[in-house]
Amino acid sequence: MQTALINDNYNLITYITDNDFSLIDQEYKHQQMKQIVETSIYLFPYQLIDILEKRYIFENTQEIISFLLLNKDLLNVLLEAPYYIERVFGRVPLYLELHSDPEENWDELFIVIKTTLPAEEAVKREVQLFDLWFSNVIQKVGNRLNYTEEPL
Amino acid sequence: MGRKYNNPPLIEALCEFQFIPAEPYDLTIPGLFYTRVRKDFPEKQEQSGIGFTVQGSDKGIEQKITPIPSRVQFLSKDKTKLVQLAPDLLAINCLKPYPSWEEFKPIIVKNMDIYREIAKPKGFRRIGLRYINVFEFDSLNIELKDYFCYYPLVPRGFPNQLDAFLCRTELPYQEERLILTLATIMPENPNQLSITLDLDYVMNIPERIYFNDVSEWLDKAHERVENAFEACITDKLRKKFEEVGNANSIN
Repeated sequence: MQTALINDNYNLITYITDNDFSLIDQEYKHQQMKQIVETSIYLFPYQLIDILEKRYIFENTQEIISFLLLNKDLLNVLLEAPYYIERVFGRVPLYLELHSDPEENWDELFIVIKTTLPAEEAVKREVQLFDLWFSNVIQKVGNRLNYTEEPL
Repeated sequence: MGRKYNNPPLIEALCEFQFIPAEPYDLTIPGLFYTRVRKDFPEKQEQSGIGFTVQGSDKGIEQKITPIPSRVQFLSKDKTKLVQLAPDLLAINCLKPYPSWEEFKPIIVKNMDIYREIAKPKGFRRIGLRYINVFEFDSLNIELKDYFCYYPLVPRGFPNQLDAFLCRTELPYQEERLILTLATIMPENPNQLSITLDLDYVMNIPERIYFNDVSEWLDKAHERVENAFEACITDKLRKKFEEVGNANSIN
């Protein structure tokens, strides 16, 4: 069974529990938006997942959504990640992949950045991304979230 | 008075007010509000706001992120009730276990009055009273018509089984409307089927309701949501909730 999500609006406002957005460029500030705020506490995470599905390609949708519902604090991190990835890699396809080992009771979500850059340059930017963004969230996400780049 | 159930499917009730401001939003409002409600809602948390815009351009579809003012949440000690404040917005939420309308309504009115005294808005832009129910089924293949009187109708020639669906209807009540949304949602247990029934009674004509008329409007909205809930489900589903006495699940 797949998940049907409640909100199918393309312009929306949502709220996250972090204060990491201070770095976001002010150039975005004056965008005209239809303001839709999900005030339901129960449905709010589903709305965030709905937004994520517009930004990432989910490799194993059902497993990823289940994982995210159990790790709701990662939603905020995943929402902000594309902004930083775009600054380092430009506009590139982003995938989400859940890697699991049931015997070890281990799950880790990977943001896979698909890029056409030469391998050496891609690795260099991966490090840049760590410095710009991931180093700030690594303590929070622990071993539940990671990122990698792959050739497109 | 409607029906009452031992195991009601109600997972959240909320009332949302959107206001027409008399003046630009004052960032001291949440702090002033908290000093008035901290006895009932001592816990507080802040959610940063971001806006998403998706629009077409020469390069294809572009998504942008925009910072917006924060939303502040004040929670009761047991975290089953909360009040949310954002610019020109007040929401009062009640999570499971829902007490009763007699208990929930005064909380709504009291907090709306406090907001009104502090923010001094010009009027209401929108009011919504919303009840969200979640139904859990042990089987992934159920006949919707056995449990619901409101469900998506699939024409002949398509597979019988629905993997996922979202069915939304807006029913006019003079100048107001009831929004019914029935949808599948990711269950907590992967072997279960979860369906939400979201009932939202809405007034969205600016300044149609005056502050003094809110109490009356809430009762009317509640009655319509209550009736809609009962109209949307079958006796087979009611049995799962174990009806008691003569009141209802959202009462």
